[in-house]
Amino acid sequence: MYRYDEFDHAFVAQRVEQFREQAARRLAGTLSEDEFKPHRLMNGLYLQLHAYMLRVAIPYGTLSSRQMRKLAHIARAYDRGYGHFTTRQNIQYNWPALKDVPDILAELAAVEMHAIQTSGNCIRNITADPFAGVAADEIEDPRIYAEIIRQWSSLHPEFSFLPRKFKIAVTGAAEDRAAIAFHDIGLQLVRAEDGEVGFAVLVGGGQGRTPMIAKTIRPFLPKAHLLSYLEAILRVYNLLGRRDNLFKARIKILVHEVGTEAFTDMVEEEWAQLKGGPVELPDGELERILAYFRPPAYERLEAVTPAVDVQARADPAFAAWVRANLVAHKQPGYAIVNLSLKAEGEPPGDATDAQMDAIADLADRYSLGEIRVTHEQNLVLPNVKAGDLYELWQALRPLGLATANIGHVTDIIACPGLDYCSLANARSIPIAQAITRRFNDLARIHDLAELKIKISGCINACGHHHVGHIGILGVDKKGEEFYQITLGGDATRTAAIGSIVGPAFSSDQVVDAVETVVNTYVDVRAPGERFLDTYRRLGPAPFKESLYAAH
Amino acid sequence: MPTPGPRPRARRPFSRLSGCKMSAAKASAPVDQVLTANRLSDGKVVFFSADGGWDERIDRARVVAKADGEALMAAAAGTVGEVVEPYLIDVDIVAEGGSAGPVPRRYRERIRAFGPSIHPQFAK
Repeated sequence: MYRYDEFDHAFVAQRVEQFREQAARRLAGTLSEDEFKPHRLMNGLYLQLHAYMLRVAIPYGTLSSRQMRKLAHIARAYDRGYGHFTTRQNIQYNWPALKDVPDILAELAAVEMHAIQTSGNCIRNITADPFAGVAADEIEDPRIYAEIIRQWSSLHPEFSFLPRKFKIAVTGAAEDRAAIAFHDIGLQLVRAEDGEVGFAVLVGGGQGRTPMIAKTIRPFLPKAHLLSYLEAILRVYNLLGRRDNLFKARIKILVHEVGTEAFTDMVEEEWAQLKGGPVELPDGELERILAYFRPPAYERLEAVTPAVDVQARADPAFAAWVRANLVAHKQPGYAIVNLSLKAEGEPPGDATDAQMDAIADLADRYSLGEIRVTHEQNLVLPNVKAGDLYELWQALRPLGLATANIGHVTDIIACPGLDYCSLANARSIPIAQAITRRFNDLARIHDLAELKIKISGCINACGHHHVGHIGILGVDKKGEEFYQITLGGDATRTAAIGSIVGPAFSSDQVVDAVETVVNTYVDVRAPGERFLDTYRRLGPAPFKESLYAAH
Repeated sequence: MPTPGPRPRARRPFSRLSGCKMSAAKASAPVDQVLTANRLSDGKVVFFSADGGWDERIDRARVVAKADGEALMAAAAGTVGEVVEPYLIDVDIVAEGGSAGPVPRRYRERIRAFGPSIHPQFAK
């Protein structure tokens, strides 16, 4: 993985000391809140419902065991013993004291981490396929380019005050595990007919109150021109993005209003000025970054490990976990292992300090010291030998990290909701917890096949409800929490925005309503159909009927 | 499953926020106010207290009639440097039970006052 050079170290250390001084001046009363707020936000420090919240960037969701141990230490020493992994592959601490934040940032800097650009109208943490570099279906490791974009976008003077925040996701695989169609810019590594690898460039996707699927403005961009082309997109947006209306300021609105063709023309025109200029990657830089992402020293193993089959036959619970939580690795004899942060009754994405420490130890023992964070709020051990799987699974069970539900009904994305967030209209986490308690039979969970529920506590859609197969949106109706259900959303290559199925449900009806939707699917599905397939075939009618027909 | 037409009033399934606190919120009752903010040093939710300081517990908050809200703001003026973004909230006074005292009318403010509903160990 990428290691800071001297410049990176000096820069991050300098920012920590700057913030230390700013915080001291605020605490002494010489800075007002209005003066201080932009500084704290530039360092990822929000003020939420109950306390400050610190959002720490995890570039493209890759962590070393050493970094994970530091995150555990921060949770224990400065917070309340847990952290929350987010849909942007970051971690949030919900209870830090302002007076401690400079020390927390110094601790993070010691392991090459920071909270810069995790807030504000700038280019945020670059996200990527969580299985980058190890997925069997990958053309190239997208993290190389995510890292290049990270370096280019960090404190980019021209793009530090954009009309609105800006999110970029990169994938190198055939399957989209990074929701690139729902980012301001989505990049997919593709191979042209002549074998050259470049990027398909998608622009203008997003969720929030106006969900949009990104448009492909360039089917193939040679890798050498990545930065000049991104710069061209950002320049067009920076000039024309709506600064007069917060709700219309994202690039998706610009692309939608001017039209994809006109927007593409403007980008291409701007690019003609920039192409081949100083912003292009200097010779040797790609190779320099690439060297940090060379594959680790894998052992040469047989592709098939008969022992796993024997263990799975002997232990059905292990077999269920293998079936649900493992993904094919590009290296023979290795597996990508998902650690579910969606155990029954637990807040989605939360991990305790003890769990984080244990995961760091397990990463050292079984995964070449590496951990990933997924945008679906789970963790990954990306490099596990098939022969170690049974032992790893046994170690994960007592930690509450072996729930065999990846991609299933209880693998729920949920925003923090009104339990933490000052923007929320309703709680999200208690609904997620209640759903995991309702669907707590593993055989039933697996029988329901792939089924993704996503819950947001307000229209900002941090819980990705628009792209949930079943989406749940919390609303405030005359002072009560109500929940709107959407059906048919999809964050992958077959991207779709869910449609509202009907009137909202109260907090004590919504779990029943979800179960009604699920049971309806079971009743009407054709053999082998996933929920999404059934919904696409039949539309909302059978679900509306079972939810709203008078009994 | 729900039937068309007006939905039954939601019964909150989360114990800390239910019970007498909920039933106390009646639109017809006289409205009182307390002054709340987040403490600057640690961000904790605090209330301007009867003794003129900022306290984490709402049951020690100074309660005034809604008409006197602005006067309460004025009374706290000398101490607002200790907090961030003070504002007034409507409360009802609950007389009975272990949670006697002012209870915010809006559920957002109840969650702020009593802690996240998902972490009873952090309840106040």
